[in-house]
Amino acid sequence: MRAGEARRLPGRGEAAALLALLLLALAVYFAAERFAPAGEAVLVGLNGETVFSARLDALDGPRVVEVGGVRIEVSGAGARFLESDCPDRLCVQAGLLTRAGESAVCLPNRVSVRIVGGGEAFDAVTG
Amino acid sequence: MGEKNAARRAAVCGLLGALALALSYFEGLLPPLPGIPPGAKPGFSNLAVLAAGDLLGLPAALAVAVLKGGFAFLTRGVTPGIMSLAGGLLSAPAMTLLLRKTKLSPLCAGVTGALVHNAAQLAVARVLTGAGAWGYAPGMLLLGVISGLLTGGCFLGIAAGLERALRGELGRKK
Repeated sequence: MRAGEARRLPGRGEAAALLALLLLALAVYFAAERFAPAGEAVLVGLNGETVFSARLDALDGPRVVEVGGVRIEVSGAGARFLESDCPDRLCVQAGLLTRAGESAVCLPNRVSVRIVGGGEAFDAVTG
Repeated sequence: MGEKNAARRAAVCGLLGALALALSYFEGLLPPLPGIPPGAKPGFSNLAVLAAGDLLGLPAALAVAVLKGGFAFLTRGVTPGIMSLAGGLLSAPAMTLLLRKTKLSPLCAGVTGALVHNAAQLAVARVLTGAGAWGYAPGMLLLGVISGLLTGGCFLGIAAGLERALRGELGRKK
């Protein structure tokens, strides 16, 4: 036991590293939000396997996908969880997903919705 | 003396377990924060795991983490229970190692613990749902750094008092 020892305040190097990490995290967070390209396709997964996929520009109107206890609305604008039978409904709170890389999951139901762009969208829908 | 010391350690461990549950409960009352992934929590209860690891060692830190996971399981369900347990069981050794084997400050341990916790949860979510979970990574990274700094800072504030309790000096004049 380090009885009586003064608490270790961060040294200069450690403080600088922590500050750098904070700035990096901020940069990643805002970059992910701002610079993400518009979504091109939507993927719905159940237990980690894709059960529905569509190109956003190929959807002419909103369409509801039902999978594993949740209802998901996909449209040209993006996708969102409409309803879920899970207790906390965090997936519904995630709202409308529009940009490539955005996703929401409903862990109790093992359902995920992911918006993708670029080559991944091509692979996802044709492959 | 040895027996008395063991009793004090058990008492402080119980105190930290109670602190973890109280903080978990308090966090559950907070409204969802804008810009933060829904369901993500600040993780203040990691403060108790951090303190247990530093003052009492790895077994106590793991015990608090398991208690926290059990509380999440009972109050919020199976999935949150698994998420909490996975995060706690990995972040407890990481924080204890940094606190006891390096000269780094509790701030660094708090941030590392929060990031390890979040990474473990993302990994569990990845296994359960597939690649969709990665979309949460930027928010969890930022939240982890901020809450890690807060819990580490709080620990700096309460450490002296807890050490006095361990030495049996609580309530006595300095």
